[in-house]
Amino acid sequence: MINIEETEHSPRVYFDSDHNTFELIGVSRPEDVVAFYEPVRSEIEAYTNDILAKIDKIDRDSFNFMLMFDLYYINSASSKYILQIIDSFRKLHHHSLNISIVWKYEDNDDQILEDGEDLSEVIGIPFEFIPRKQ
Amino acid sequence: MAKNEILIYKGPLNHEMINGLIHKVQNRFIELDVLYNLQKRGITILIELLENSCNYMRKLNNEEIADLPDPEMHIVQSDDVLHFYSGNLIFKEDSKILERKLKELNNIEISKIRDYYKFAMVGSMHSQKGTGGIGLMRILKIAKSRFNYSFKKIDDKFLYYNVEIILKN
Repeated sequence: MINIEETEHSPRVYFDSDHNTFELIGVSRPEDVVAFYEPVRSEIEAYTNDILAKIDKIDRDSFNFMLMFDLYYINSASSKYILQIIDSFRKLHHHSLNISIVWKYEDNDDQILEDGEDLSEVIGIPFEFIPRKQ
Repeated sequence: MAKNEILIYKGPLNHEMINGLIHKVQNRFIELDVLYNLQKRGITILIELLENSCNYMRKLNNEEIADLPDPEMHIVQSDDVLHFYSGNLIFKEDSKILERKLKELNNIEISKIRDYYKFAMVGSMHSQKGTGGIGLMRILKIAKSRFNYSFKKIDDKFLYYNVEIILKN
């Protein structure tokens, strides 16, 4: 379980393995990107490795992990970590486990939409893009 | 053509100062009623430029640079165009690497920059190196223009690196 509150410069991070939920919300340009994201990346990698270790016992029809991103600004250093986090889930996706990735953006913010499209293409998993009014 | 000064800054850079500069620019954008989409792209470019400068200046922490020029950031708006001018000290030997990188990026066809960026992201995903190169590529991808840059000699050890990028709506 990870529950980090949002600040002006770093996003809210919520990871609940019991409810198969990961959320990243807000501005992502923490002062020390490594110190901020490394523990998150590490815990998620441990979780996905654990799932892979018991993959034969998992009911593929009922498993659904939801990742939700609702970001306002991202710096390139954060993008690298966001990519690594999604990459951990890609391993589950490759084992036919259902991974849903929702990318929210303001309807007149091409920049965040494009960031999401780029991440989706790089990682090879389609995202669901949800616009909302500014 | 009316020109508006958005930001003129010359001084030290750290995370807090970057936050202050971003706030200042955001407020100025609102004051000048800059198109929202241009604001968002402009702030993203500003973040990348300032963080690149700040990260590089950390590398010079142990150098005696008190009497040498500080980093600078200048943003001007004319109609729906934003001009970004950024500058900082750079070690002479690092300038060669940076110049090679900038030349390489400027040689990429504008329509292909996004593909290069995505390719570079894959390469950087598990790399231990910093993301300075990716940051520059991201700026180019957002601006869809070219870097105009120069290196001016300061002394035998340092040059002053200036880069200009234009962002159109």
